Amino acid sequence: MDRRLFTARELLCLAVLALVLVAWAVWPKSSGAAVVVQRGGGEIGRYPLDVPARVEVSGANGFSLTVVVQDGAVHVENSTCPDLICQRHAPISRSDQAIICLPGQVSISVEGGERRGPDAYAG
Amino acid sequence: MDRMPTRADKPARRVALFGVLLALTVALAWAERLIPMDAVLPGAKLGLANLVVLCGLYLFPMPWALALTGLKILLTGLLFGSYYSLAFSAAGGALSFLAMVLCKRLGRTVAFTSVLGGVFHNLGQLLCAWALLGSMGILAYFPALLLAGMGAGAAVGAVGALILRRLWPDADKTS
Repeated sequence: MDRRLFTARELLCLAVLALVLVAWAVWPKSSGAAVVVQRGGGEIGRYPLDVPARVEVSGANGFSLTVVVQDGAVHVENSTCPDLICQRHAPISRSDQAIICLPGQVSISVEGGERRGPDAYAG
Repeated sequence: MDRMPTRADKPARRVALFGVLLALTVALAWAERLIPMDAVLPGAKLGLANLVVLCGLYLFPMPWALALTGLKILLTGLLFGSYYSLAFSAAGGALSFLAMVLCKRLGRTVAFTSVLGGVFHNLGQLLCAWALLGSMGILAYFPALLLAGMGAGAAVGAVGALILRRLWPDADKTS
């Protein structure tokens, strides 16, 4: 009786399938995430998160912000507003993060990006 | 030592074996819940109960094997799952069963049949998720889940091949 689990042809077939799947899994792909800039609740700009960019955004009350996209994250490099909270905010890259400039009524958020998963599963 | 009755040819014997195997699927499905897999890859399972489905495929005529699969999905789905997970299991189970029957008809080995069963099981679940959610986002999950299906299918298939070889050496390998 044949004691092998697989025939040679089956093994070859499975190896090819596994290789294709692994290649697909590790293939670098565009994240598809976008930086969305809003002023006063209305969208004024949308930029891909994986393309480096530097954008001047004019906010309300004459304030302007320099928004920089680099390394798959976005941050405010400069702002003429008095608070500078937006400028001090760490770069954001996930869908549940946002940078808000209240004096300029500007919000910068990420759409279609990675979300923070749960810390643990139970049950 | 008496050799174990192999193909359950007598009706009473076949019904008894069917019942035992069906009960075993529920026991194995319960045992599997003790192994948390969700943290590694949500949706991935070893599919211990599919060991019984695999053996059933070789021990019973096709309609009986189909009944075993269907009842296993219904029972474990109602006992341990939700309506959603029942839908996912049904889609995966149906596609997987179809693939395994075809594979067996083509005279492939037990282990290979099991691997294809695992792959098509997860393929069916992905299609079901796509139909229910209408989102292409799940495609990102495709390769990982199919690889998981291959792994689980290979593990179950290796054990299944051994079991069939030891317990039912003249089990139906061809038709």
